[in-house]
Order: sequence, then structure tokens, then C-alpha cells
Amino acid sequence: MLALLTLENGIFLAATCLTYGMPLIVELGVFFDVLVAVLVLGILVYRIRESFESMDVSKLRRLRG
Amino acid sequence: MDLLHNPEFGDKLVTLMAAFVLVLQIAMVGQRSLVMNIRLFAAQSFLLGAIAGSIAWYNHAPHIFIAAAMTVLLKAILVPILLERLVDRIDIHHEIAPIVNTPLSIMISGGLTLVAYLVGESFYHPEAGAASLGHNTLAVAISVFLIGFFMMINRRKALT
Repeated sequence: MLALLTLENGIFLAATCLTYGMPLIVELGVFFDVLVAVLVLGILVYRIRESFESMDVSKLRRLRG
Repeated sequence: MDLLHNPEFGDKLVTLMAAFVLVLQIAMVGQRSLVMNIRLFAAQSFLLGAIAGSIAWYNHAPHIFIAAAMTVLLKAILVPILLERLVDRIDIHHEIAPIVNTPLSIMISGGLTLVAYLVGESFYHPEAGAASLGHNTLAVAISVFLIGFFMMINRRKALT
């Protein structure tokens, strides 16, 4: 999740330096997306921690049929 | 006073801050504590907002100022606060358990940076004139992007 946010930083850096900024509406949409992603992924991480007693993603492999 | 209107100085400033962004990204790969990782992310976002602000200043583009201010407000203040609150609630502060060990992952990040510079160099055309401010910035952006992908597959825990 932190890696996803840094990835988004890289995309923002490329967009700003290459095209001198997207239109303002697009920027606002991207920022709103980031905020919603952080909230939803926070709830998801909390749920994973609740049901597996750990945040290790490789334990999710047991769910495979 | 003259520095504030000198595009040469703006070029140097943007290049310097982009280099700091790359250094912080590689430090984030090497860092093992979760809270420290979030703070490094906040510092990186703040530098990103500063880059956007200086590009807006030296190109006289006022709408980028709004984007820069929102970057600082949202990604450097609000998102780290939310993440630290989540870390407090989950109550895990320690290791983030990477799959590859730390020296090897820093070596891999260096290799990815090299790839990004090779790719970014071919996009640099100074005679075109448009993208002249901070010509290393595209290479830095691509390497932050690639190292972000590498971090995503390297970390084992869900929050990182």
C-alpha cells in the first residue's frame, strides 16, 4: 500500500515535469482517488489483520481452492 | 532577488530536489521500520509538492500552484496521519519483512535506476524547447515508478 502511494508520486512527478501540469479537474480527481484508496485499503488491511492475526499476505494463499 | 527570476537557477533547483526524491525512495527500500517508512513517504511527498511549486513559479503557471498545495496538504500531511493512526490501531510497529534481503534490494534499485536513466535520456530533446526545466526529472520519475513496483512485490506484509 505504501509502495502504491510512492508509485503514484512517480506518476505525478512525470506528469508535472513533462507536461507542466494536467488540467485542474484531472488533478482534483486524482487526489480524491488517492484519498479514497487510502481509506478503503486501510479498512481492508485492518480486516486482514483481524481474521488472520497477522498482516502476512502469503497466508492468503491458503484461500485458494 | 535575481535568483527568483533566473530560469538557470530553477533548473538546478528542480534537478536537486528530484535527486532528493530518488534518494528518499531508495532509503525507503532499505528502511525496515514501518513508522519511519511512513515519515520518509511524507518527506518525499513534501519534496514533490516543492518541485511542482517551483515549476509553477518559473513557468508562470498559476494552476500548478493549486496542485502543489494539494499535494503537500493531502500526501504530506493527511495520508501519513491516516497511516500512522492505522499503525497504532493494528499495533504493529516493527519489521516489514521483505522477501529479498536489504543489500540485494538496494542493488536491484540501483539497477532499476540505471534502466530508467537509459530510457529517460532518449526523451530529452533540448532543441524542442518545451520541457527544459530539470531535464533529469523524467529519468527520476521513471526510476521512482520502477522502484515502487519492486517495493510492491518485495514486501510481504499488507500495509507496506
